Amino acid sequence: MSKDDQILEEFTSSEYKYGFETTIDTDSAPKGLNEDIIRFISAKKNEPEWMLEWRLNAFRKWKTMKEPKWPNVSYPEIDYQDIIYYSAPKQKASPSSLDEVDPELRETFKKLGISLEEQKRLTGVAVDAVMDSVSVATTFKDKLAELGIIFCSFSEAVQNHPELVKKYMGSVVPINDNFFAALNSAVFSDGSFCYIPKGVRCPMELSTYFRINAANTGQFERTLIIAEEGSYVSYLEGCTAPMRDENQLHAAIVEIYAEKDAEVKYSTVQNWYPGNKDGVGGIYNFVTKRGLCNGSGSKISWTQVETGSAITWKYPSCILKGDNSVGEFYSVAVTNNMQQADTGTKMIHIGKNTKSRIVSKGVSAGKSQNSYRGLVQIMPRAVNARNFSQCDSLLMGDKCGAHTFPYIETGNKSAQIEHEATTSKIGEDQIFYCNQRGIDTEDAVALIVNGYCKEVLNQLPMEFAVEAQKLLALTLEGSVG
Amino acid sequence: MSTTEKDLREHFNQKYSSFRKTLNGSQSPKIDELREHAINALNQNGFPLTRDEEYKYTPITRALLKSFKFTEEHPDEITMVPPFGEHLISGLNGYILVFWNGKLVFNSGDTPKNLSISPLQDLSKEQQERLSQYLGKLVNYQLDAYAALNTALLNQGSVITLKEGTNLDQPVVIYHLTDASQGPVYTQTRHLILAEKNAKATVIEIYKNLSEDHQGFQNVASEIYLEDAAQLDLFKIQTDTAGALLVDNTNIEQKDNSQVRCHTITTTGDIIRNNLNISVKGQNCESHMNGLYLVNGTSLIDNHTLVDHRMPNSYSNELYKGIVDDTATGVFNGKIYVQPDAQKTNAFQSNKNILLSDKATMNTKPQLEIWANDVKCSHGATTGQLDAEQVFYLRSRGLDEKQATGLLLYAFATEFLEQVSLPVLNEYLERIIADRLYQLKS
Repeated sequence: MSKDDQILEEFTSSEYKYGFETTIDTDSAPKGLNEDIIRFISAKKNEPEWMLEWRLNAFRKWKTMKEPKWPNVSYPEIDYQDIIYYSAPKQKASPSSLDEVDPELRETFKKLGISLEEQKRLTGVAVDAVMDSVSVATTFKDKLAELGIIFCSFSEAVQNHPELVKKYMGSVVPINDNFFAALNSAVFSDGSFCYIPKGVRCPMELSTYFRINAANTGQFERTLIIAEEGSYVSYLEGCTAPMRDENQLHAAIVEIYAEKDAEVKYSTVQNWYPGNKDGVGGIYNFVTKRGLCNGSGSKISWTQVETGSAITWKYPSCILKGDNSVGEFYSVAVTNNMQQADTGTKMIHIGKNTKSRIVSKGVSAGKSQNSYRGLVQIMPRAVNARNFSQCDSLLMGDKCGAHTFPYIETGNKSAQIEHEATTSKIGEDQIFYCNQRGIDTEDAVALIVNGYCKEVLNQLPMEFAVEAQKLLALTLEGSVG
Repeated sequence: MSTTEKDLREHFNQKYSSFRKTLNGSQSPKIDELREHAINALNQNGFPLTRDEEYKYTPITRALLKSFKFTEEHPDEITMVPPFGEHLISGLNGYILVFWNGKLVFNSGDTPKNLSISPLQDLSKEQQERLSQYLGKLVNYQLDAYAALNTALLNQGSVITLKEGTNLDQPVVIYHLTDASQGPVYTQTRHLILAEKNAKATVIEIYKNLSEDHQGFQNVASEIYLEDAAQLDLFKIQTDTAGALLVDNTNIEQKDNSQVRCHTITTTGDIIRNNLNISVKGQNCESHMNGLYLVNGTSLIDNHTLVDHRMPNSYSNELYKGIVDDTATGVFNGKIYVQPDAQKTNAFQSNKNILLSDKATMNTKPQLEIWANDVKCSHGATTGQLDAEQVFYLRSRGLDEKQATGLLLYAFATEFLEQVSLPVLNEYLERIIADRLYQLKS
């Protein structure tokens, strides 16, 4: 084997380092989806009657809906009866301290570099770890509770704070919003819940880490963040999955509700298993994320680094209802090999003097297809609305595609809307410059791509920014030459 | 009872079968087959409603259903040639064709040897046979229902052939006049333009709606072939179309080194939809698309453009500008496709809009789809109002508010004229733009 081949071999094998599988006992529902399964999930979680009703209602709505066909992605028909809708690692009911968590589980999260253990206090990140749709551990709960912040798994919230869940769940993403949102509302098994009371500035980053482990399962989690007047929270989300030859479905919902002058920053580093280089396996990531700036002066900021998943279908959106509210969307979407991504945002301007900013950077390599799809809508009432959008695409190789579908709907003369987009490749002169200074081509590409994405990466909290940069380099490995 | 989309199709199917009878087998079987395919496609796909992505913002089918009284539709026989002289643009000389409600009523004839203009309906079977390799090959009846309708009822129109090396001294001017004073009318015309090697010409199409007494619906489709190094300036002037429903499908195919410059100006109309599709099948081609729409009242102007780069080393540039007032709506959708083979393509697109009223709407969708890596493509879209600083600057020099905004709007709109080289037309359009801006502001 020549040296080049060896290097190539290394690259392909180092493609996805989170692809291990943990052998752990799970408690699963049988395959398929019907009302009994939903009752089963609800009973498993010991849910109150209203929660079950809510799920069944969503399920009935879902049955009348059709899977969306408009995204610029192609995949074989999904058999919704061939999926396990509930799978939970077996462990003692609600561990009171981390010592009670299954050591195998702790080991898994340790391998992923997630600090579940209290001694990692120094990192100052509170984590809610979700494995196969069930929250296994939440750290720093007590410390946060002192400030009145509720940060727990969704099922705990249903038990302990039903009034909050009832009030806010579905208020931003209604159950019949879209096909996958309805599916999630019917079968969601767990997720994170976060409530920041009035005037509180959350002292640490809150974080959820999602892990799909069991085979044949779908992951359906739900995150609800409520920021009361004048509060602030920064929220991180990360995800990984084992390498498998089959496609697994992940249909999540994130809802953010921001009251007057509240600020929520939501960052995602999405690194689900993308499938191998021939496009076998990988996660179908069909996610609905939406934030509502309900109060005046509120702000919601989405930052995402999308490197994983076989198919990504995701549009983190902001509804700018309150006057002077601000919505931001920063995205880096990298696709390699056979990956397909159709991602972007929606900015709905309803209130006066609302502002939004969209910065989207797409990088496509291999045979991948990368699409930006966005909507900027200015309602007639949204006087002095302002939007700036920039969506750039970088193409590496001649077999990939980059697409932009921006919808701009302006219904008001005082609105100022700007949209610009470019598509280009990495210049040979740029690479040459790096080579000449002793940086090999592979590193040069990583360097240039990192520079190209810098505007977005700068928005990430520090811990994530480092991870994201590494991920970018890793995802693009072997894509040059 | 209100009419449904099915009724509409039913109506046109009846029209189709009675039209087929009048042809009585006088036509080439190939053309007949094309019509049959088109009507089948129409029946299969139906007329587009607003849930159709391509007609998302343009409820033209609904407008047809609502206001078009087909039972009262005016019979299309014209017994005598109406006096059309007053509707022509004075001073605009050229080889003139006048279509009155879709019927050719005037052909100035007298063309030089290197130009042939023949009425589509007068072609012999043999000529039709020969043209069947062009007809219906660019206008896609599967994609657009109105193109399908036009193809199914294909009859009246023109075939314009520019021989190799022609450099036309005068433009070809085509008038589409719709007269709905006697009752609602559906009119359609079909053009085929063949520009052979090195041919160079200007074609001006003028659309007019003469009466608002009843609804006039005009459906025009053109197929334009540019051979190697051919050059064409194509104008679409839709400035006198108040109350009109109009769909225009223009499809252009370019071979090596050819150049096309399209200029579309729209200032009035009920609902107007322009589909401009350019397929770049040669290298080193240039495609320019230049558009302006100035709309008020309840008008809806929709411009859809598509440049499909299939070969390397070509250049396309698009600039569409619009001013929207009252409760009017502007729609722009510009697509650029760069296929895997089209390396070294440079494609640029820009859409700029000014809204003058709080009820005006602008929906824009600049769309890039790129499958080749060594390309330079960009698009930009802006929507807003006049820059307060610019207005202030002019006011500080003694202009009143109205003059200042008028001057700025005029400067914004007349960028369109920079690419209009024909002096007569330039003057004519400048006057129209000025008048129009005066109406918009007051």
